[in-house]
Amino acid sequence: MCAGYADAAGQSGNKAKAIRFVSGVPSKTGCLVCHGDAKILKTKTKSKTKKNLFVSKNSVFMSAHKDLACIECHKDFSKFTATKDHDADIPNYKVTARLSCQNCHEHVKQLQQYNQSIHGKTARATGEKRGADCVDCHGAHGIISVKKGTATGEQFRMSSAQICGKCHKSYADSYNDYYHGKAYNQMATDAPVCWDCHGSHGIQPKESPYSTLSDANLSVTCNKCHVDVRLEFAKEYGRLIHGSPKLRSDNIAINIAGKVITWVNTNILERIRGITAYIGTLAS
Amino acid sequence: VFADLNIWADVVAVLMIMAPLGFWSFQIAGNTFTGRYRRKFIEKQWPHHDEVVPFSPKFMHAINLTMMIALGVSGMYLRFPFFAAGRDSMKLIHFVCMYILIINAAFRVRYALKKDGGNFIITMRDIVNAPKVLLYYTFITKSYPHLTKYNIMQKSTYGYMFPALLVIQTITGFAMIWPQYIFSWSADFFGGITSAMAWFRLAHFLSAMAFLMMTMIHAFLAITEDLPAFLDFFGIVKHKPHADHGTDNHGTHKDNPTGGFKAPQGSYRKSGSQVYRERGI
Repeated sequence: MCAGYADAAGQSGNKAKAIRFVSGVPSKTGCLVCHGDAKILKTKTKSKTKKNLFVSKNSVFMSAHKDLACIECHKDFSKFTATKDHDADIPNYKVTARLSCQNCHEHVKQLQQYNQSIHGKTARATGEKRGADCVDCHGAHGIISVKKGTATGEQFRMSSAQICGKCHKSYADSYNDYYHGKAYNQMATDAPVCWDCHGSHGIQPKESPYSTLSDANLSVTCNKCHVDVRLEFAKEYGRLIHGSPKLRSDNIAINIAGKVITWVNTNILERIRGITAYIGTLAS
Repeated sequence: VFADLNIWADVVAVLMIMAPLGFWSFQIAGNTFTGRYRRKFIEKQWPHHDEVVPFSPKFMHAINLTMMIALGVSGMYLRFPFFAAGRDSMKLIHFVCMYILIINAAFRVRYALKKDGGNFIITMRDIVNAPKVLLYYTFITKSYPHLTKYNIMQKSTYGYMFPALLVIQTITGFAMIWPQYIFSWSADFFGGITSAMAWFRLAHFLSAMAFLMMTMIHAFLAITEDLPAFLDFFGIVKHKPHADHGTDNHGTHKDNPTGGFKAPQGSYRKSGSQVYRERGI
């Protein structure tokens, strides 16, 4: 059932209307007549679960795929329109998207790496419920070009903490060491982003010997930007990269200073504020 | 160790900034209670000078100041970026200012060797009188023997500590720019060139903070101890020399052409060492 359609057609606002059509036109404008409406909802007849099917026109027309037709990615579209069983469980769209990505891009290498990665393995092991897929990192309707040296490529790099932070928030938040994290947080274009160190399509858990951060590969990873980084130093400095906040909070001097500031705030400043407020009350 | 040391370096840096603030507070309180500020800022009893400072050292000082501010801001930005983007431009500013500062320092050394280097020579009399200078600045005594243009604190700061820090900054700075060429010897000692760079960077940061600390004290004392000379040094107010300078028995700058190093006996107030000599101590 298509709830938004009725509104778009100027008919009874709250009544859902069944749509019966088959889109055979490889165009976006047709789809966006309905999907460009922010109120469009799909409600399953039996379970009554609702899903917003809104697609922002702006994001589509600003995307790297602005010249593509919707069905070039939504290849399974005709199987799940209202002409078919609307209550059927649609396979995870991410899987379809992954297949679609391969169709246009010669990303065999990336796909192979992804299949061996912790993201790919997790996605398969959990039936695509967990584990990042193409669209989780690259985006869907608003996908931007990640080509190096381009404005969107830089934009993508600078979004790495948000992209990875969707699932790895604590690591994104703690990326605040000198020269790397602090610079990244201030949008320094020469600062490393998550995948510069951790890898991207082939990302492995850090315990894996194949990880870019394993003892075998750590120096190589650091030497992509630095010169003559040896394992001992890489491991030592590595403690700062996501560990600065903890190292700071564990530092005895900072601890004591924090306690002193808290004590001064609660025992002196609060009283001064109280006295000032009292005087203010008397004056008024 | 290195990771923890970096955190400790930040703690030390904060203390190095707080120390001059503590010094300022102490000086403001002491000067106010002892009436020194009243005598200076209200009664205008500023120190006398017998010479007009030439343009060259003033100009070089202004260059130093400007470059150091730019170096300080850009350097702090590199370690603690405090606004978006601009790290490349900050590095560029840091490098350009560093080269100007080094060239300026070379000219200043040349000027010191030709003209006023003697002002910075620490003599035995200075060392003997050092406690008296300290007693004056801790408000225990009302004055200290005025031997030469600069007291021992000034001499050691301008003539030795600032130049020493500048040398350290230059060495550690260049070590970070061309580590593989200049300091390759240190790579094995530190466990790799990047590790060496990181240690040099830490030293660079700490010496920069020492620089900042001393500059904060220097600027404060320059303003509060002799505001007219300070304003004159920056060309804000023209400072005239006092004709009667030195008539109080300590001699003039002309009498002490090398800052007292060759001062004739008796042309200055008796120093501590003289008193001790006369007393046979």
